[in-house]
Amino acid sequence: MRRRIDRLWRLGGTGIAFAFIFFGGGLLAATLLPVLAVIPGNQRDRVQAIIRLNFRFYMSMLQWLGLLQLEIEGAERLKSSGGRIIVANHPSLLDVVMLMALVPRAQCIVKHELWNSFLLGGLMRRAGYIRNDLEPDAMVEACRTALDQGYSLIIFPEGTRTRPGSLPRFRRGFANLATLAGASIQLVIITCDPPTLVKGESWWRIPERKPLFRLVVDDCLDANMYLGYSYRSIAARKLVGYLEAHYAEKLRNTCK
Amino acid sequence: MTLSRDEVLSKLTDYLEELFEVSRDKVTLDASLYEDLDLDSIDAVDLVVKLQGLIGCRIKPDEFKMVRTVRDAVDCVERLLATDALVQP
Repeated sequence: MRRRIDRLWRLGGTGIAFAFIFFGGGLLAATLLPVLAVIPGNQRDRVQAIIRLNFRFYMSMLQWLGLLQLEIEGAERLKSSGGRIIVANHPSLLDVVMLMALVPRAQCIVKHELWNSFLLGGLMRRAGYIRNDLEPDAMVEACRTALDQGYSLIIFPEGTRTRPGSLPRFRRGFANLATLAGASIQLVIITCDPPTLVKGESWWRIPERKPLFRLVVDDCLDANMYLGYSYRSIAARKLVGYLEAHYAEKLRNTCK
Repeated sequence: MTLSRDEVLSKLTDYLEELFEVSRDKVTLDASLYEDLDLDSIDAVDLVVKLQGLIGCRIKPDEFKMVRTVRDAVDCVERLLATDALVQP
């Protein structure tokens, strides 16, 4: 009985949480942001700061509603990570929310469909995020500029959420970028037990018990580590191989 | 510069192996650079730079955008070598 009540509570809470993020984002874009836009100064930073505050609040809300438990290790190291690429594995829908709550001046590459979204389109434009449908060279330039300006660029190299039960497979885009821009890479390892909000699962399929999200700020790879190869293309391939092995090692115990 | 078609293919195979760790036996004329040989669009830029060094003239980005297979790449290089020969007899 107790377990059923707990589940029902979490189901209701999950619904509220989803509604909150969509309508909250839309409301924010429609009300507060246009007002802020007329105040002089760096609008993009201001919008990003507001998004970060909202995500912080949102993560607290999820914990307060009892929907999840959150453990973070080494958060302070994400605060001083400007100009770096932040790479993480991608088990759930909340990964980006957690990272953006923790990283100041976070820049990210977002699905281009969101620019046309009625609720979130305005937010994307004002935050100045990078669209994922840019031509490759324009994409590299946009990312390089963001890094030069001291933004932290959050990338999930899997390109999509991890297939449940399997180890992450990384695409090469982030490695191309890192080798072209000579940027260092801060690794983050995210686990969620039991899995929730995985790819292709409806929001109301909530797990049996309250999930524990763990976010561990791991090594930071210095750019010198992979710039020593005779060809950039080889360096990028080695980097992908190295990181896949690294994440496999770290996640071995969580993937059954 | 004159290069036979076989020489162009052999040079291209060298570059694919050197730059992208593509094993030589995978390089056939029909192999797709992006699907079979696992190159990406940034790799293509690196390959173009290397090929420019070989033929001694610029390859326009648009020209290489049409290249999908090893055969396309060889054709592209041959075409440029031919026009180059016209300009500098």
